[in-house]
Amino acid sequence: MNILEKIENHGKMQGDNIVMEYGAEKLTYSELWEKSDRLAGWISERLGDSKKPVLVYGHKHPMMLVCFLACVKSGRAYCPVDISMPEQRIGDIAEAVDNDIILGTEENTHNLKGYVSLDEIDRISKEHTPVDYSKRVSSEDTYYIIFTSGSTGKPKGVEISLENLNNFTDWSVSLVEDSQEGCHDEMRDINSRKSQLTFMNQAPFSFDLSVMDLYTCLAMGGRLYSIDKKTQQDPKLLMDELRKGEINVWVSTPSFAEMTMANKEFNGEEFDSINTFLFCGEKLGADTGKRLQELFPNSGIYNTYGPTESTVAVTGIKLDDSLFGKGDLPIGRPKPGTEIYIFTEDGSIAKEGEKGEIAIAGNTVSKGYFKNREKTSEVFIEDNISSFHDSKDSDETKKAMMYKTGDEGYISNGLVYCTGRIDLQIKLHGYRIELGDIESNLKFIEGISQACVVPRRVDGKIRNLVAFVVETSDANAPRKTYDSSTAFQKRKEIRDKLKCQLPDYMVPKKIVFVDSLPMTINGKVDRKKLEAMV
Amino acid sequence: MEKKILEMIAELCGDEIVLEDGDINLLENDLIDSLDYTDLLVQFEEEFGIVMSPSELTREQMDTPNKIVEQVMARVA
Repeated sequence: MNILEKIENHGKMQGDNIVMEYGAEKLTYSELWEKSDRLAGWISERLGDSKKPVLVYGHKHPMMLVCFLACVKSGRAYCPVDISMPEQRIGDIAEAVDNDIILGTEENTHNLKGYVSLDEIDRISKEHTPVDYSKRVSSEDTYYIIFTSGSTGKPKGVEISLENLNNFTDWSVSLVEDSQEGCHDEMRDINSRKSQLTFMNQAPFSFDLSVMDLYTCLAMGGRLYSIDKKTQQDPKLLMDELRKGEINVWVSTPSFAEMTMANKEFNGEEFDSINTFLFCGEKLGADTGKRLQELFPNSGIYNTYGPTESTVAVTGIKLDDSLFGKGDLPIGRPKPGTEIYIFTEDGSIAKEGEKGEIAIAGNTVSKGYFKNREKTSEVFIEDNISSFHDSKDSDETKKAMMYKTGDEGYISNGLVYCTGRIDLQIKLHGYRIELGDIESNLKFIEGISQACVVPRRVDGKIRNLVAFVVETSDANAPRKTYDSSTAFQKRKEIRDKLKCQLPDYMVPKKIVFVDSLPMTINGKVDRKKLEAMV
Repeated sequence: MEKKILEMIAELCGDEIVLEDGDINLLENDLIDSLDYTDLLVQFEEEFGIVMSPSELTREQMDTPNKIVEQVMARVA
């Protein structure tokens, strides 16, 4: 598909339908199309020949979408930056993007230069002459740039082309369609009452998980229902908002779902509109998947996997009973147009079931990091093996690339499994330990809902392991507190159970009970923060 | 001083139980390992100026918080 043509078509055919709703703010498909045409016209005029990407700063305001589309209609990539990002990082990104203008839908609290405020955007998008359609980004052009944290501190901008996005959306739409097909009859009745599907938007637009809800929604002519940061942090507000949203397609990180599942009213009876769950962004625990399946027996739950560098996600699987009780959940099968390879440490291709680094080839692999050749060549390698590398229908001058993810995994019976980050592998007293392995085993213990294991370092050297665990609880019940002897007994119990599953050197020395795990702004567990706590 | 010693042990073990139960067996309950012992002896040396060589003590002489306190007190006196 061509996503822009799809949206244009929805603008014509169902122009009065809501495309995005956030609080009292609503935007229709025709408004989205027209306003972005006008704003694009202004951007073209203002920036002339410069095709530098445009930073779009904000949170969940529907005008964000207008800004995104306006950029690409003017032939420029957009770079979304969320208000929750730290100032230093925003500064780094603005510097890298280096454009005269920044589009903003929230207050300019960081005094960014060239800031075009919401009022101005509103005015321009009503009054300015629309853009010429010939200016639009073409399939090979960069469509968006999303910055991810680099291990060295400076963020890296991943360039995703229109073609990448089109290929991803083809697949993500097929997942939602598959789920609607598979819906229980009862559920289909509910759906047929509405012509439009409602997608939940949890992730900030600066996190590419949001591409999964936003563009799948736009492709399908759906309504995007955004839940802001403040609401996400308040269980009561969140439940109210989720009810009000009448969401059909839930898209979030597993951590966000786990947090929501702590509310006992979150189930398929109370929330009968939800028929699809799409997870991405971090590991979906088998226990979480199973529990959710029990709570929502009529919904399709999909586990997907992929790095930002290959457009959101490249593998997926619908959960069913056959997958439970066998340890970790698979991340699924590669989507059409993607091949997954596992490389062992010596660079050879792993045998069936053998662990190694996951590498991705195919039509959603990014062209690389924005203005960062060095980092690009470290992880994007020439693809000489996949069935795409000699494909005749693609542009022959362009070499096919493969992305080395840094994730560890294996393939078994056609299903891909991700076992963790290669860099989450640590060495303790000479033993190689996968922290994710310990976490999975912790979560299998009854009474534990979340776990994160971090190394404790003394003088930079890993000394021992500390596990942070969250106990399964009812969000409405008072918080559990233990006197030290009960706490000791509980820790001992957990350690004893772990010892039945893991070698002694993998059993964390210290176990800390916490009410919740700290989250990064993207809704993943904040390991750095935990490490600083030990 | 006894309190200080116990706090140092608790910090090392990562469990407050040692403050409550002075007779808990640190080894059997995995509260302490050989590296921790070495650490502890170094800390005692820094804090109280007493030299305790790992080899001069058997594990049995040091396997509960109370026994450790006793050993340290004997050397300070």
